Amino acid sequence: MENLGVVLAILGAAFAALLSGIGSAKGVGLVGNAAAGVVTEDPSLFGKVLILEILPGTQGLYGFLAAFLIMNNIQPGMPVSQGLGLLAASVPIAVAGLVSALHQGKVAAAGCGLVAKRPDQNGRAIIFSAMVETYAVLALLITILLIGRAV
Amino acid sequence: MSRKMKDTDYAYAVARVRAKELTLLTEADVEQLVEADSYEAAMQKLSESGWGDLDGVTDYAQYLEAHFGESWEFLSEILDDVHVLDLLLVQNDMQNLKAALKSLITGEEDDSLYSDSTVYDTESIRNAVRSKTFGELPEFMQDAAQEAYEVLTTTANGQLSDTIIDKATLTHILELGKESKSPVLKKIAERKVATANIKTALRCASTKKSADFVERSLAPCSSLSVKDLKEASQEGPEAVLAALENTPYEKGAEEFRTSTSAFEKWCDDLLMDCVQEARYTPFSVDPIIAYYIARDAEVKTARIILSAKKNNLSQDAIRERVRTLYV
Repeated sequence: MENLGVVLAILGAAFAALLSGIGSAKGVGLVGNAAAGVVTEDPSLFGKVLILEILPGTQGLYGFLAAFLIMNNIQPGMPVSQGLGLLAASVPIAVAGLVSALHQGKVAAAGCGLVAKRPDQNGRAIIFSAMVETYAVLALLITILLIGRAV
Repeated sequence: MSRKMKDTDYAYAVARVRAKELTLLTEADVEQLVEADSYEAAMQKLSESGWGDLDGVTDYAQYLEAHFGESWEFLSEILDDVHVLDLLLVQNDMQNLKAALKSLITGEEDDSLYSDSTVYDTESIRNAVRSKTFGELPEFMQDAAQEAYEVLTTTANGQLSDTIIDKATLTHILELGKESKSPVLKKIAERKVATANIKTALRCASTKKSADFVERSLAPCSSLSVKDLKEASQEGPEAVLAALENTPYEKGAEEFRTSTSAFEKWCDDLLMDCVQEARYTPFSVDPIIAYYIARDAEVKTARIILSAKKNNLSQDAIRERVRTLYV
């Protein structure tokens, strides 16, 4: 059990990357479906719907970044309290990343419908979707601050 | 039946429908059609709106049918499971059944009587009827087909035969509505059956049909008492209209008193009213249903305008008949 701290920290890193990655994959997949529908009818809208498709992918990147930071702070033989702290630090981006990516995917897919009917309104569709991003950014920020506190 | 679809599974189809909605006729387009100088000018306007080339077109009915057929092909292409639209199309299948039974009795085949926008393969229905193997028909058709065939062969009463099939259609529509997860489809099913019952009761009242015949024609639904309609039909059309008071269909009576065309418009608009909210629904099957209803209303409107132009009806008379549009 002398490596329990390390195991907990590794679990935290995996947790951050996994859950936010799942959220992003599902979110991007949903928008990809809607975007493909729009482009089938009007290929000229590819650029506009591509931006919407990318948006729910950011949570996966935040999770990756958090996992990387946690891994950088893993020391052989680190105490259990530190490992637990790093595991706890991963929770905000893991959970908020998962949930926000799923919801951002829905907003962005709905935005594809808006772009299909009113291509000039793509800026607004992006804004609606970006509002959801706020909570993923806040969660990442807290995760980074908690990693700093844990070590 | 395939796996159960989640609302988000329709993301691709809804996105394509949203893009296609741009090609639906707008109120401004309809006004231009109404104001067209002639039938030819109205046809030209439709052609310019993307309804297809006019080369070789001799009959507007075929032209409109082809346009609607294209929409149906589009829906078949975007949906993984077209059975979600069964409720809207099953009437066409039953129409094909009627046509097949008639051709069996008369021995004359007329392809123009058959619709292509159907749930089941038309040729299979024709073959089953031709060989009198009614058990090969879809389950909900079997009893009605058998009974209608017996009526036709024993009494040659085409009206009764049609009535039997119509009631089976309405009953099946209600069942499909109950099975559907979509609140829009449930509402459409109920309204379709209720308005069909009202029309039947009014027709029976005008032609003084027996209570037994009326009962065989009406399909029980939850928003309208079939018993009241049956009793009222024995007293006359005005009693049927009075029976609609204090029901959700009260306005229909008012419209019928204005004119039958106003009543027909009210019936169609009632369906359009069910799908208006789908304009703001990002996922689910509802926007796809709405698109189908919108195309149907658009084609009906075009048919009314073209027919009116051919018969030199005034612009005001045409405007009275124009259906409410989706966009």
